Amino acid sequence: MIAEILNALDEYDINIVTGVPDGWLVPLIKAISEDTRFQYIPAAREEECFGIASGSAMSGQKCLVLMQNSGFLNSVGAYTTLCQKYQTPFVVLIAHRGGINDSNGYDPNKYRSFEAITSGMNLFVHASSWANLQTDIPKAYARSIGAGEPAFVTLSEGMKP
Amino acid sequence: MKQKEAFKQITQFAERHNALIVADIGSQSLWLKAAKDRDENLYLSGPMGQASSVALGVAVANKDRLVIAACGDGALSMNLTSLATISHVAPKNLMVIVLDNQVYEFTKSLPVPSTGTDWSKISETFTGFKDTIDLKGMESLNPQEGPYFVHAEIEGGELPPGPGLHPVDVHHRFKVHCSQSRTQ
Repeated sequence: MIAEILNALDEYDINIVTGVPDGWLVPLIKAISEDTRFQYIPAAREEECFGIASGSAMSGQKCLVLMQNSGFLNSVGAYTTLCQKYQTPFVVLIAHRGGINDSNGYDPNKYRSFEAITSGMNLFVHASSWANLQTDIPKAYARSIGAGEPAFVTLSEGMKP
Repeated sequence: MKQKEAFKQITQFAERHNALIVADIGSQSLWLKAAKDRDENLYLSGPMGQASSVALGVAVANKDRLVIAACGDGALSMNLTSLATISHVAPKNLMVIVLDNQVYEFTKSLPVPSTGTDWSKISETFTGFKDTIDLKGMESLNPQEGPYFVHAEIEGGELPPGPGLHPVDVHHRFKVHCSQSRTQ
């Protein structure tokens, strides 16, 4: 499954990836980091990812962002003043913690806040699955270019072994 | 040195090295535009502190070009973690310049919280940076063998001329320039 996702990214010319790790995303981050078709930029803080992705996008290069839903909560200021203002297209793959598949007691508030903020900001958020990422990320990217704004794709669980 | 003069020097350096420049909000973007408005300039008029991160994205997307991040000291203080990220990635074609005037120029020159920060020792802490230099030191290095951190001490208190360009126009112009440059 991971190989198919990476092939889909490469075929769509998404070769720059940045993010802050979430446990659910580790298999994807490891595979991207070890694949010479991609440059993975591990950011210290999620807000930086929106800057890095915007810099790539404004250079005409595609970039995928990986983070947990709480990472977007850290980044709302940069999102509004940079990504919205400059209309930078890219895809943000979100580990959407705290939903039906997540029993961690420290995650529900992340889920609630992400839902409330993205809904309140009227952002495009597509609930995906590991099986559908290989088609959903390129489609979301095409949508982000057309709309002139980032597209959010969410996962509600980690990858099954 | 006044910020106006610093940006004249930075622009002349950039022109000699065919460099792209990403400038922080406010005085950096407007002084850069006043020095010379170039297609290679990416003015950030919205997000404070993002110039270093945006420049990193520009650097990985344009590996054959020198990329300069022109950051205010107050702005860079808001995004210090970006120095850790840049230090780790260590792109050879990136140069981060902090314009250090010790004040928030656009906020009635209130002092910045980084007055206790020794910018001249950045490369000792963030060891992926090859060296920390001053504006004079820029002239004697190979800028494509970085990343370098430049500590530019400047005077505060002079607001730049406006207005700036519209962000979407800045985005479009910069993207067209970078895309055409890569295909040549």
